[in-house]
Formats: sequence, structure tokens, C-alpha cells
Amino acid sequence: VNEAAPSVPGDASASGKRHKLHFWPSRHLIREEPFFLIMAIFIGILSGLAVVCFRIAYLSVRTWLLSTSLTPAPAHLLLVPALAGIVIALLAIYVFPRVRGSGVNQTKAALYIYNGHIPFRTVVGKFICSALAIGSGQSLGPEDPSLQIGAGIASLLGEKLQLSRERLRLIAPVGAAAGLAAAFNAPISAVLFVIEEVIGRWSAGVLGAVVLAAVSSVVVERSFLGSEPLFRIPPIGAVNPGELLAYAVLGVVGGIASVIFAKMITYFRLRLKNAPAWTQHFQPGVAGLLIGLIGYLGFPQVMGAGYAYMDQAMHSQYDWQMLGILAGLKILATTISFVSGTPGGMFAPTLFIGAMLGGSVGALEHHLVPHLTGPIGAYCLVGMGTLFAGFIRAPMTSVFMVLEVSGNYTIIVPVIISNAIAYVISRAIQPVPIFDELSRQSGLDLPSMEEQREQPLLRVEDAMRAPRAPLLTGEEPVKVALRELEQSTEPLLLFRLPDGIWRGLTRKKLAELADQGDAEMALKAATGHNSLPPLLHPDHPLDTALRHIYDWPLLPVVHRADPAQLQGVVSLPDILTAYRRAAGDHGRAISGTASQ
Amino acid sequence: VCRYCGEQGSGGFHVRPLFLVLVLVAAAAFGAATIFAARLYQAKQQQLGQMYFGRGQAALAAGQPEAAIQDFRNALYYSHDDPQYRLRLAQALAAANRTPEAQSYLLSLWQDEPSNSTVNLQLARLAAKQGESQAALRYYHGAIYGFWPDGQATERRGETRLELIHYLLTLHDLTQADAELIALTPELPRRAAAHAEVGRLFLQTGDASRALEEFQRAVRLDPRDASALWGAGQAAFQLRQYRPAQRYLDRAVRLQPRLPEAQALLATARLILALNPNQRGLSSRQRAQRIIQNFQYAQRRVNECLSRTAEQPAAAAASGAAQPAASKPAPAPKNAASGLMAKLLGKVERPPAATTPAPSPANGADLQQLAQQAAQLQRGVRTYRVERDPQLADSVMNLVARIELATAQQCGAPQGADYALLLLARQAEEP
Repeated sequence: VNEAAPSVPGDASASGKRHKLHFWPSRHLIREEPFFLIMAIFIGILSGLAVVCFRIAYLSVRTWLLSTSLTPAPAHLLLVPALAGIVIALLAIYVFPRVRGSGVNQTKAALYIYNGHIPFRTVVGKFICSALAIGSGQSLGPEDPSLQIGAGIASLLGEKLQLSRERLRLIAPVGAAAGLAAAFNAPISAVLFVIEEVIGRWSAGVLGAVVLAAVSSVVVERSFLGSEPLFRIPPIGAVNPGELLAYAVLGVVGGIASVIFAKMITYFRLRLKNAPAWTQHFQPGVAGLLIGLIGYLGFPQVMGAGYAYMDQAMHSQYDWQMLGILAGLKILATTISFVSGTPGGMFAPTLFIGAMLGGSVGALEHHLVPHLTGPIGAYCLVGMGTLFAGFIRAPMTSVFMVLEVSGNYTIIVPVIISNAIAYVISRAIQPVPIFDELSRQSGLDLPSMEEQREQPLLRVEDAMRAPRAPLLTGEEPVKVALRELEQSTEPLLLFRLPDGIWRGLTRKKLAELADQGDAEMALKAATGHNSLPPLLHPDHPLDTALRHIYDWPLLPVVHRADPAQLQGVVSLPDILTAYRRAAGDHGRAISGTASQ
Repeated sequence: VCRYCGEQGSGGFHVRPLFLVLVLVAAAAFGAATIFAARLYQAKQQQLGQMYFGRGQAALAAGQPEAAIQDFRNALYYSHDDPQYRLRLAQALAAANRTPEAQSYLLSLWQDEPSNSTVNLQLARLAAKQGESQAALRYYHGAIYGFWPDGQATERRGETRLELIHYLLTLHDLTQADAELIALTPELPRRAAAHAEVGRLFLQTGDASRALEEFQRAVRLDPRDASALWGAGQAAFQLRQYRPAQRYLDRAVRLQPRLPEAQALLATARLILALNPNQRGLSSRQRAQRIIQNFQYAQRRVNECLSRTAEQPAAAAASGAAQPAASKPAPAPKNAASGLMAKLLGKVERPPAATTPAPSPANGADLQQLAQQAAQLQRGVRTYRVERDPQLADSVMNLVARIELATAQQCGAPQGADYALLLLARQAEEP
């Protein structure tokens, strides 16, 4: 990549030129922007195909290694995950060294650290190791690896097509959205997740590409594997307003469970990372053995992604005690699998835990309050979203994901309530989201989208103050203006013309006019284009003021409905004071949370 | 500056067409490989799903619902959206008495296809089992008016409606059951047994006239169907068409001698026909003779009833029982046939009093008055006078009817000739 080439779209647009693509030898020029969108579709198609292959792979591995039945033989339960774990460890150490983890942080790292580069070897490794892990019964899911596979394909394509650095950076999230959309069969959730958790900003160019990639990958996936939603849930009628309390309780329980789950993963992952290097040869194997033991002891439901069991839970196949046990064991099993470094995702286990926990809470509430009408399936569904909001900390995605994977929209109000409660509880107890915590444990300083979202936005009204110099009209002479300005500390004198327009003259300009013998001249006669300051409004971001403060040491802030009405002024010291004050508040808030 | 050709202001780069072609070819090859892999995979999935489904079917047929549940779940693992698998799983769960679980699967199937008759029928059965009659009726109707996937819609619809009718009869909703029966009749197959079955159901709903039509259809289809003949006899008897009733019952008894109830009903029909003075074809003398004979039966009945009512207060006083005589049970029927007839006639007319009410002073006075009237009339009732005086004939038969009705109320259900006369009296009461 030629670093000297203009690669930032802002630069190109500033110079009035756009990136173009040369077709050699005809030298036919194609604009890069539309080509990027076409490429997004192509990435979506390839990612969709890859995810279909991945799904076939891990399901076939399960059939070959574990059993064709949902209840494998005891010997298989004990041996297969353990032996597969050893193979995965060897592959991860000697063949695919960057294959560990879920895939979300790797994609973020590609965007923010490696200029969109994801080694294709890692993608292949992710495919093989994750398929082996999930198929052999490790308590992990296929969604996050699918996300990374999609991102990897996009990255490879972008590099081979030698796109600009900015496009290369963006192409990994585009592939990620495609991979996730195909894995979940849910394009809206995938787009939201990538925007919410990976890119962190909405812009028309990125959104268009992400949406196109997600939609095309889902179309491919559906053409191979069918268009039915992941889950079939019994009909859910209109939710009784009183019953929302029951869902609120689920939100509280889900929030606490999310924190426990996140704390367990972060604590044990750090412990195992600090363990002697030779133990890494055995960690996935031991994890497999422990999970096989859980299956052997009568709970094979916690093995693998567990979608079949989520479906059973939604159809009231378990009582509340069993659902509670399964939720607890899945937290344990997923922690074991993930902290051992076995590649695989956490989305499916999160949904599993949520479904079981939701079902358990719902069934218990039904037991205690028999007049509740919501079916257990509804609680399972809401529980899935609740855990997703509390654990993954993607609140928007959590709501839409529930709607998309179930194809049911009647449950939206309970989902929003429960998810919001879980999210708030999780944030209050664990300020750093799980993916950010994991990236920091890995030594990567990736931007936290949640922290970015929570960053307080300073506005002009936070910095503005009353003018210290008297406000004059255009009829006043220059000498009066100069005298007033000399008696105040303001760097600029504001005055209003009869038509209500605010103008400003600096001390230097006024002095020049006086020296030229124009001291008696009216201010309105002394104005030119240089005396028209940009007008600010109180709700403008403070950054807007910063952009103009170099040219105008004092900026007027006027009412939006009546520009003649001056509401205040801002100067550079005011802006800096506002920023300093905000930084102090934020720092105190962070240190206060940390000390808790 | 182009990063590769150095052209000023383009900001672009080279992409060799050959490279793009190669990428497209590679993508096409990847797509073809995925199609191949997906087909293999889907074939394997389908094979495994069907294997477990077959096992589940066998287990369900063998009465092992728990094993069937496991197999159907395995089948669903390979095709989680297959409605047939889900339906069978629901049926296995229902067979294992895991009703809420079965209902949950059925409801999700119903959500997908609300007009699926099989699903509606299963849901109706589960709702009926749980005592949710409104839901059961809704699902039964959903099944009847829905879509039967196996191409035997008419037959299955009829069977379902028949099941609904039986359910309505258990709910004692005779009006709705009758309406469903009326809707069912045009769909009936041309089989005597089917028409006879519907006829019997019409009898249960109290619609004797439609019952008779159905039994007659059954008899036309199979004249030697004793069951249909017996039903036709019952229906005709209820409709007070005693001649056809006698004819049907006679044929039924001849074909199936071991029908004691039919024999009893036949005897009653014959008795009615033998006692009815308004029978067509009788000479005036024969008519008069019948009237006199009926009068004698009635007189004997009222006297017996009076003597019994006179005994009852004395017995009650003697025993010192605090229990009022009104609650004393009526004498038990002397044979099965009288019980049947009471049941049978109860469909169309007031059932005979289950208990023998104590003769109130007023009732006792009525009986006494009737007995006195009978005694007064006895002297003038002669064959030749009745034959010549139609007014006398009417007043005698009127007195007979009043006696039989009053004594039935006071002294319980009559037997034999008195019972026949009671039926004739009630017939005469009808507009």
C-alpha cells in the first residue's frame, strides 16, 4: 500500500476528487464507492457460502464423532470432547496460533489495529478448530466464529483488490456482518451488532455496505438451509400489563446472571492465561473432559450450541428446576470451554443460558402466581434477549435479535423492559463489558463502544456565558465601541444591525479604524464580510465552536427561533474550562465506579 | 496520485481484469462445492431424520410413548421445522400424558397453520381432556372446517364431527349436538352402520323424527340390520307412530331375538294398538268395546292408587318417620323394559315422576273425585250405549285419560295396559 496516496475519503472529497479504479489495460475508470457496494454483495455471497460450509462441518463432526442421537453413549461423552480438545490445542499452538477466542475482538482488532487485515490462515484455523470444538460437544457457539470467517474473507478480498486503507479497514466489519447474519439467519441483528459493537458509528457509506453484505449472505444461507427462524415458539397473545412485572423480575435475575457469567469468564481466563505455557497443551482437553463429565452425569443438553434444547425449553419440555440447573451448568460449561482457549463463540451459549433462565423464572412465577397467562416459551425468548443485553451488552441488538430469531413481534414490550433492566444491572455491577475486558486481558487497547456511547456530549450551552462588554447597535460610533471594549476583557465587540444580524469587530480592527480617522463613523458603516461571525446555538456540540474559535475569539450564541436574540457568548477559555470540568466529572465518575 | 500508475488526481489503483475473473471463477467453484456438500449433508440429515421418525412411529404404535418421544426429538434435531415430526412428537407426548408439553408443540404448529385439521383435532382432544370446553369446541370446528392433508377430507371431517357430537353429548349440549348431526347427515357414506349410528345420536339429542329418517335410510341400505330396525322402532315409538314402530320392532326381534328391550317395547306398541279406540278400521262396536275395556282398566287403576295413598300416611305415622312421605321413592320398575321406556319416552314428554308424591289433600280429593265419577259412570257404560252415543264415548275416554294422568302423577309409572293408556292419554293431550 502506497502510504503517500490519499486514502481518507474526507481528504479526497475536500479536494473534490473521488477514488477511482483503473482497469488495466483499458484504463477504464470505475468509482470506488459503488464498487465497494458491489463488493459488499460479493462478500456477503462468499460469507454466506462459508457459513453454510461451517454449519455443515460442525454438525457433521457432531454426527460422526459424538452421536447421531441427542443422547450420546456414555463412552463417547467422556472421550470425544477430551480427545478433540487435545487435537484443538495442538492445532492452536502449532498450526493456527491466532485462532483462540470468539472472533469478535479479532475483528475489532483488524479494524482498529491491523488496518483491516485478518490472516487467512487464522480464518481457516477458526473454521477447522471451531467446527471440531462445537461438534465434539464443547459448550461454544458457531456465531462468533462465523463473524470472524466472514470478516476474514472480506479482508482477503479487500487486500487482493488493493483497496484503499480506509476501505480495507471497513471491509472487515462488512464481512463480519455477513458472517453473523448468515449464522443467525438474522440480517437486522447482524447489522445492528456490527454497528453497535464493532464500528460504533452510523454513516451512510458503511451502513449501505454492511446491509448489502448481511442481506446477500442471508439470502445465500436461506437458499441452502431454508428460511425458517431458528426457533419455533408457541403463540404468544397480548401481554397483560400486570404481567410485565414478571418480566421485570426476569430482567433482574438475568442481569445478575450476566454479571456472574462475565465475572467467571474474566476471572478464570486471566488465571489460565497466567498458568505455565505447557498447560495450554492440555487446557482444551481437560475442558472437554469436564464438559463430557457434565453430559455423562445426565446433562448432555449443555454440550455444543444447544439450539435443539432451547427449542425444547420453549415448548415447556422441562420443569423450572431442570431449567434452572441447565442454566447454571451452561454458565459453568461455557466458562470452562472458553477460558481453556478453545475457539468458539459465546452467542449461542448466552442464548441458551437466557432461554433456560427465562423458562425457569417464568415457570416458577407461573407456579407461584397461577393466573399468569404468558407461555413458558415467551419467558424463554425474553430470557434470551435479557442475557444477551446483560452479557454481550448490545442492547439494541438484543431486542431485534429476539424478534428476528423467533419471527414473533408480540413479545417486544416485555423484551425491552427485561433487557433494559438486565443491561442497567450489568453496567452497574460490571462497568467494563465482557469483550472489552477480554481484549484488555489480551493486551489490546481496543475502543470500547459502550464507553464511547456513554461519553458525555458537551454542547455550546455548557460553555456559554453572558457577554462582559455592553452590546451596541450599528448606529454607535467606532470611538464609543473602542472605549467600551477597552474597559472590558472581551477580545471582540458584538453589535447588532437594524435587521437583527449580529456583527463583531476585534479590538485591533477598531483601533485601526480610529487611527485612520474614522472614529466618528457609525459601526454599521465600518462592517464588511470580515465582521460577520458564525452564529452558534445552545444545542450545538461544543466541537462546532472549536472549529471557529481560531478566527473568531468570541462567538455569539443566538436563539434558534430568533437570531436577533443573543443568548450568550463563548470564547476559547470558556470552551477549555467546559472540557476541563467535564473531564473532571467523568474521571470522578470512573474512579467512583471503580472503587465500588 | 494513483498508487500504481502515478496518474495525478485519480486516487485509484490497478485491478487486473484477469484477477477479477479468477476471483469470480474461484467464487463459482466455492459455490459449486458448497452446493455439493450441502446436498450430501441434507440427504444424510433427511435419512437420519426419517430413521428416527420411523423408530418413533414404531414405538408409538407399540404403546411406548416415552421411547417414541426420544426418537421424535432426535428426528426433529435433523429437521427442526418438519411439521410431521413435530406433530408426531406432540402425539407421543399426549400419549404419555404430558399434556402441557404436547399442547405447546401443537400450538406452535397451529400458529404456523391454523387451518390444519389434524393439529386442530389434537388440540381439541387435549382441551377436552383438560376440561376446557370452549377451546375444545373451537378446535373441533377448526378441524372440521380446516384442511386435511391426506386427501381423505370428507371421511375425516365426518369422523371429527362425530367425535365432536359425542363430546357435546357428554357436555349435555343437546341443541348444539343436534345441529352438528344435521350438518353431518349429508356427508354420511352410504353405509347402513353409519346411518344407524347417526340415528342413535339423533335419538340421544331427542330429535326422533330425524332419527327415524336415518334409521329408515339404514334399513333401506341393509334391510336385515337388526340394530337399525330396533332404532327405527324406537324413533317411531317416540313419534307415537305405533304401527310402524310395531312393524320395525317386530322385524328387529325376529332378526335378533336376544333384544329384550325391543321385545318389551314391541309388547307395549302392540298393547297401544290393541287399546286405541281411535284405531282406523275399527267397527263402531269394536271401538265401543275398547272404550269399555279402557274404562275398566282406568277404574281399577284409580281404585288401586287410592288404596295405596290411603296406606301411605298410616304407614308413615306408624313408623314415626320424620321424613315426609313426599320423598319416598317410587316402586322400582318391575323389569328392564319399563325403565327403558321411561327413558325413551322421557325424550319427548314429561318423564314419569321419579318419586311417588304424597297425596296432598287436594290431590287425594282429585283421585277420590275421579273414582266417584268412574263409579257413577260405570252404571251407564254399556257397549250399545257407547256405540250409539259419541258424547258418552268421548266423556268415558276423557275420564280414562284423566285417571291415567292423575294416577301416574300420584302413584308412579304404570305398567302394562295402564301404561299404554297413559301414552294414549298424553297423545290426546297434544295439540
